Order: sequence, then C-alpha cells, then structure tokens
Amino acid sequence: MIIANNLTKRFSGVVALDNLSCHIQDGCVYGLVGANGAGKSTFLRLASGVYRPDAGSIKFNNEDIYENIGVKKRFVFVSDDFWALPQSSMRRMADLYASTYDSFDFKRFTALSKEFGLPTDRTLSTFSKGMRRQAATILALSSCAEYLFFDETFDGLDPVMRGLVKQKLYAEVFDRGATVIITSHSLRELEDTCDQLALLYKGGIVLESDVGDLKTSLFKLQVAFAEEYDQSVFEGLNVLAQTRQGSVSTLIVRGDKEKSRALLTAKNPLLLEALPVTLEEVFVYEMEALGYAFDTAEGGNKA
Amino acid sequence: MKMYREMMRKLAPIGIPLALATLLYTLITNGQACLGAARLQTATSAIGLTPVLVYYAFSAVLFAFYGFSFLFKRSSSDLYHSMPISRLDLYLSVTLATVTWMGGTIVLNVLLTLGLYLVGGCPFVPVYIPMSILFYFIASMLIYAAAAIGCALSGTYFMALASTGIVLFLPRFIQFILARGLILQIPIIGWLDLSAWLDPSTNIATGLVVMQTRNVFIPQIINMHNILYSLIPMFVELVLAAWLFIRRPSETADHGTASRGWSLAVSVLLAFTVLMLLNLNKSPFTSMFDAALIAVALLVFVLCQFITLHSIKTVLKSLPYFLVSVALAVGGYFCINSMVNEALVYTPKPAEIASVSFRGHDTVQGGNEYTSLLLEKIHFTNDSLKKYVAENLSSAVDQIKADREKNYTYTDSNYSQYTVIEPVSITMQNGRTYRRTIEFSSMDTLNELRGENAEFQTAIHSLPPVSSIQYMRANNLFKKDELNQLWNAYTTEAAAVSVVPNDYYLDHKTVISDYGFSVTRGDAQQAENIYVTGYIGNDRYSMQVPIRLETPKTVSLMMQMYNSYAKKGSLTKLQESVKHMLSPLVLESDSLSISMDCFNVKVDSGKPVYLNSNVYLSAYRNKDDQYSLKSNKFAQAASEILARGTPTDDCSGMFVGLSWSDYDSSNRLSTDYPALYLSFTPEDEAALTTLFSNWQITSMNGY
Repeated sequence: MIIANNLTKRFSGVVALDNLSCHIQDGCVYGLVGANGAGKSTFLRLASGVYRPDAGSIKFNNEDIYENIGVKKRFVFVSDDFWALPQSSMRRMADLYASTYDSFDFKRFTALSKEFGLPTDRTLSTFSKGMRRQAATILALSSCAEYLFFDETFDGLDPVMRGLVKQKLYAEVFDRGATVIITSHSLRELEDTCDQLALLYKGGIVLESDVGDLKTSLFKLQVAFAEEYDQSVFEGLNVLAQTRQGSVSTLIVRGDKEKSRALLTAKNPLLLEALPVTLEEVFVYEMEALGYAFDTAEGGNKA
Repeated sequence: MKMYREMMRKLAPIGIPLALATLLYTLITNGQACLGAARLQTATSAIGLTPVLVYYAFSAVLFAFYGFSFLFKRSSSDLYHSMPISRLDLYLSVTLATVTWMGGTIVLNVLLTLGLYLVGGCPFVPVYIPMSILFYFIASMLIYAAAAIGCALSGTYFMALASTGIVLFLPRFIQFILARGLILQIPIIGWLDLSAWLDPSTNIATGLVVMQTRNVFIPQIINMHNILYSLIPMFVELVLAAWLFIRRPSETADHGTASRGWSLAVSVLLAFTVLMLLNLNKSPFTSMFDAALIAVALLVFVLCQFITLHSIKTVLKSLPYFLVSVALAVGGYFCINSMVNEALVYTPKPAEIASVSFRGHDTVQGGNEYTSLLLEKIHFTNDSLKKYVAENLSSAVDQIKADREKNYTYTDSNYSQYTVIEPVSITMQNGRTYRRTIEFSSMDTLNELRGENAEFQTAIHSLPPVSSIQYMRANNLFKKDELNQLWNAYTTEAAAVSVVPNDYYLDHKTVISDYGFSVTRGDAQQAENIYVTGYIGNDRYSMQVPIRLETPKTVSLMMQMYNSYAKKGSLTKLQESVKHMLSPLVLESDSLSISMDCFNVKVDSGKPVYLNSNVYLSAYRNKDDQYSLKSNKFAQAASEILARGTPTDDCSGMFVGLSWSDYDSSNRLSTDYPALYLSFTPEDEAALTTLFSNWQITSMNGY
C-alpha cells in the first residue's frame, strides 16, 4: 500500500503539492483527477521515486520510495512525455528497460507490440504521438512491475487504442494483481476505468472515494406540487443544488435516497422522481459544495 | 553491470568514431615518422609520441555530456530516475563506460605508436609508453570529472558547459593570470621558476592548454610528479561529481541550475574571468581597452543571468552582484602586487645561502643539453659563487625596482656578448628554495666560479654514454659505422686530453687577430660537429660535440673519411667552373659557390688561426660591381692555388677543407662537391695566407 502523509513539494517557491495525504490500496486502479497544475504529475513522480518530497512522506509498505531500489523494482512510471534514446527503436528501449528491470519480459514485449501493431525495429522518432504513447505503455507493461504509474496516459490515443490500453490495464489488475495509478484532467476518461478516484485541487486532495460509493452518495430528485411552494418544503433534506423550472424543482441531494423520497411523498407531490447522476455531476456538485472550481472534461471551468 | 553495458552502448556513437579517428591519425602521422623516407632518428618528447591524444583528452567533455544528456530534459531525467537504479549506480555506469571508451582508445593509440616505432626501428624512451597512458588517462578523467560536476549542477547544456568551464579552468586561469602578472613585472622569474602553487603544468589537464602558448612546458609536462599530483584533484572531483549527482533533484532538468545560488555564482565567476584579463596589464583599469573589457564582463554577467532566469526584472535585481566580480578581479590585482613586492624583497646575503644550483642556460628556451642534465644535480656551496649569484640577483632586483616598466634583461647598460641568462635555484640556510632566472654579467666569471666545484669539472668534461645514444649525425656523407668509428676515436682522445665538449663552458674572451677580426686560435679551431641525441632514464638529451684540433687523431680520421668521398678530378673541375663563370658566354642563372675552411693559418705572430673563406659567383650579379670584381679575382687566384693542393689527413700544419657547388642552368644541373682536405707547399701556404686574410677583410667590409 502506498501512503502519502502531509506530502509537500515546491518548485522555485511555488507549492505544487501542499500537505497531501492519501492511501492507495493494492490491486486497484487508482485515478487522480484535477485541473492542469493541480499537482497530479508531481504526485505521480513523488510516488514513483523520481522526486524527493520537501516535507511529509510518501511510503510503500512503510518504506521510503526515493532512491529505494528494492521498492522501485516493483514500480514503473510512464511519463506524459515519453522520451526515447536518440535514433532508438522500441527494441533498443526495451534493452534499456531490461538493463534495470530484472523482470522485463521480452516475450510479452513482442506479443504486446504485435497486438498494438507497432514495429519494434522502427526509429521511435518516426512514430506519431499516439504511437509513442502506446510504445511507452508496452514497455511499462513488459517490465512486469507490480505498480504502474501512468501520467495522462490516454492523451493522444484514438478510441480503439484507448479501449485496448484500458483492457490491458484491467488485465494487469485482474490477472497479476497489479496496482495501477493513473492521472487525467478528464474525469470521463477515468470514470469507467478506476476503482478509486481522488480529486486534486491546488496541490491537495479535496475528495478521495471509491467510485461506487461516489455514484451512490448523491442522487437527483425532480419534484412538483399542486400548490405554490417555497424552500421550507425541502426542510429535512441535504440539498446540494437546486434548480426550478415552472413548478418543477430539480434537487441534488446527499443522503439516503429512500428516506428522502419518503419525506417528500408525505407532502403529496404531483411529481416525484429519483434520477441517477453521472460521476462528473457528483464531482461538480461536491466541489461546488466545497467551494472549489472544477475543470470539466471539456476543459472549461465551472464554479 | 547491466547499466554499465547499457552506457557503453549509449556512448558508442561517440566512442567508436573518436577511437577510429585518433587511431587513423596516429597511424598516418607516426607511420610517416617511423616508416617514411625521413625516418625519425631521435626520440621525441613524451607529448610528441601520440600528439593526437592531447586533443582527444578534451573529448571527455563530449563523453560526459552525452552520457549525462538525460539530465537536461525533464522527460529523460524522469525516465532514468524512475528506473530501479540508484543515482550512484547511474553515475558510476556513465563514468565506467567513459573510462572504458577513453582508456581503451588511449591504450590502443599508444600501443599502435609502440608497434610503429618497433617496426620502424625508431628510437623512443621506453618509459614514455606507460607514462603516456597514465598521463592521458588521468588528464581525460580530470576533464571528465569537471564536466560531470558541470552536468550535476546544471539542467541545461549551456549552464553545464559554463559550469564545466568554471570547474575545469577557472582555478588554473586565476593561477595563470597571477603567474603571468608576476613574470611580467619580475623578469628574473621565468615560467619554470614558479613555485608549485603557481606552476600551470602541475594540473595536467589545464597544462595541456597552457603548453600550447608556453613551449617551455612541452618537454616537462608529462612527468610523474605532475601525474601523481593530478591524481588528487581527479579523485576529489570524481567524488564531488558523484556527491552532487546523488543530490541532484530530477526537477533541475530543463532549468538552468539546481539552485539559484549556483546560477548567480556562475554569472559572477564568468564575469570575473573576463575581468581578470585586466590584470594582464601592469597597470589595469587605466585604458579604453580596460573600459571595454569591463563592459564585456557586464554583458557576460547579464546574458548569463538572463539565460538562466528568463526575467529582465530578476536580472536587474541581481546586477549589484556584478560588483562581486569586480571586487574579485581587484583582489587579483592586489594579489599580483603582493607577490611582486615579496619577490622584490628577496635579495639574500651570501651568508644566508646554503647552496645554489643551475638548470642550464638552454632550459630557458626549452632545451635539453646533456651537460645541463648533469649540471642541475650539482649543489654549489663555494662562497665565491654564492656571492656572485647574490650580487647579480641584487643588481637585477635593483634595476627592476628602479624602472618597473622596463624589461631589465634587454635594457641593462652592462649588457655584452659575455652576459648570460641562467636559471638558478637558491637554497637558503633555512631550507627554503627560491628559483630565479638571473642575468650574469660575465659567463666566463660564472664558469670560473663554478669550476671550483669538482662535480662541475666532471660534468663539463663528460660525454653521454654510448649506450644511451639513439641518434648520431655529423654530415650527410658519413655512414653509421664511420660515425661510430669517429665517435669512438673522439671519446678516447677527449678523455685523454680532458676536453670540454660544450663551447658554453669554455672561455669566451674574444681573440682579435692583427688584421682586426676575431679568430679562433690553436687547438680551439673546430673542424666538425657531431650531433648526438638519446635518453637516460626519463630524460632526453641532445648534444653538439665539436671536433677541435685539440683531438688531432680524430680530426685526422675525419679528414681521411672526407677525402675518401672526394670526386675524381674535382680540383680541375673547380678551375674550369671558375673559368666558365668568368667567361662572356656564362648564362645568367649559372652560379658557383666555394667554401674554404682554412686551418692553422699564420696571420700574425700568435698561434695559427682558423679562417673561413666563402665566395659566390653569379652571372646575375652586376659585373661592374666592386664586390663582384673582387670575388671573381679572388676565386680565380684561389682556384689556381687550390688546384696545386694535395689531399692530406695531417692537421698539424696548414690545411684547407674545400667544398663547392655549381649550378649549370643550361642542363638545370646542380652539383655538390663534398669537403676535400688539402695541404700545400710553403710557397702556396704563404700565397693562400695573404689571399685569405685579404679576402677576410674584404668580406668584413662588404666590398
């Protein structure tokens, strides 16, 4: 298990991570979502032992990660900007990985390359951005590490390849019991991939939860009454957001769905309907409730 | 081990081409020297053995920059640092790969050189082979270590290069400027007189640069003292580079330096480097050039800061730190002045001197005379010599103090042909040793006082052991066995009559003949020179051994050898050539040159003298010119008498060594006639004496 405790990292006086604490359970897909500059990449580099924390700690099974070779043998990190040796091919890069990862599996490397349809002897500089991203993923998967860190890994991939990568990541978790830590600024990318999600905002985690719990923590109620009504009719409900169109109100409510329905049913509504919310809506409303702004998948900011 | 192999592979694009290029260069240059027509006859200096390695050593910067190139890009830095390899192992992998590539290339080059020398049968100093390997390897690793420090401190190539330059060169540059400032103001201190902390050759990496401009260091840069000394900074810098590398944050990549402090330090030090050039003048901060230099230094400071900070506002804020550069340069000025004043205070009394020793007059110009090798080992303790050294040193210091702007050596009013400059080591009673290059008013007095020492007497009478001689030459005629025969005859005879072979240690008083020109008399007359070179241990030497009439058997043998090469009928041919040159049918490009070495000529009442009479006839010259007319007349008269001479090997009486050459332009044929030694009847001797004496005066006057 990876545990970050009051983790802090600064760059030239700018705080990138500020007292961040989190737990990453083994054998899950852990997603980190946040706006650009939220600290996702910094966290990933700290978790994979690239950076040394300025304060606080990040440990794997109670051991520091930075410069701990025993721990790093079990980790592999895929940067958002894949780098290759000058004039090198995938094969050459595989040799580089194999020089440090004893567990590097060349058979797996060959098989994955075929599956992704990437030539292993072609110079990587001739690859497109998406192909390079795939190459980086193949190399990481071939290292057979137990913990895989992916930074914005779906960027530049077409939907088919995105699906294939996701499939491979699931396979890592299910077949090998690996743990995948993945960052994205797009919640939609992670919604159907992760078991756990954490929302980073200005260097701190503002929300960390199991995806299933998150989706059931909020629900949407549409309600209308025959008579004119005011806010007092919703007393007893934990309403996070409310909109009204004519006599129909739409409420985002946190709490027990059945109890909330029962409370409103007792007031004889003309209309009462419970609707599901998307994960993105959950995040938006939770963030609004906390007073944060959240970068949506489209990249705009919602207050 | 796996990462080491990986780094070997990574560095191969640099290692292989450089190895091939250097080996090719060595093969061509040393192949020509060892296997070509003009085969190497004398052992080269250690640096001359594999000259390409002087430049190859600096490719260590390329190895370091390429090996550590991943540090200058965030993505590559993150990749390497995310991998399960410690920073120390990563550093060691690059370093060991560099050691292998560079060490291997150096060894291969030296072994190729050795092979070529052995195949070609050329002389070389064997100990230079292992010393060269050691020297170039340590020099390379010193340069590599500086570059590794530069890389560890920096996140961009620019800053890494600037940092490397500072680490590698700045300390030695400061030292060089201080040393040069001292030498500029104190001419009695030469580059080889500097104390160890100012000697630019002790650090062999920077010594390779200094020797490009100071030739005196070339013969001595490769020595065990320098090699062993350089091992210390090499290890310290390699360890420092490892320490910095381990502590280097990955996030430094793509940023100027690991810390703003170092970025500022780089700017300050680079500006300081430029400002130190002000101290090349005796009076800095006084000219327009100095003002321009200060402006350049400021520009360097601002540019360097801007490149690392990317913010004009921050650069402007840092401007006051430029004053630190100025203060350091001013400190350099005061440091030079302090050293100068200290050097000028040193005028020991004879009683304070324990001993003096001399390195040899030729070493000032980078020479390596055999006698100097022996001389430098002698410690003179006689009071008269200590007094003479102290007086001359004191006199030199007084002159320097009197006029700091002048170079005293060449403005000394007492300067004469007897004045000599010699490097002296003065060991004080308290054990301290000072080295100065002193101008002595009389070389004869100096030699006379040194002559009181028995070891000196032995040294100046010594000849190099025959087993140490690698190369011997007298002229273009004599073959190896003839040379050996001549050398053996000379050494036997020289030992018997106690010859001082090196002219420098003989009496230099000028002997003037009754005719008014200077002459060499009696046994001092010199018939030939034998040049020998060789080595004893690590030391190469050269020696010019004059064959004088003091060794008559050797001279006689030499005359026999020359005469055996004489062409038949050459005396008749000489007469014909003279006649041809004087005839109206001579072509404009035809010429005739006659050289006559006349020995034992009785020009006055003193001992017989040596006269050298040369004449050059050319139709191209104006026939009505007085000198031409006299030349023609002299040649005609001389050729007539010379034609009556008989070949001789007797050097007890008057004899003439005649050699001449002519050029026949109609056939485009140049013919050389080697020396033919002749003796004459008493009548012809008298005629020749008059003829040669008059010609000597004519030549002296120029008409």
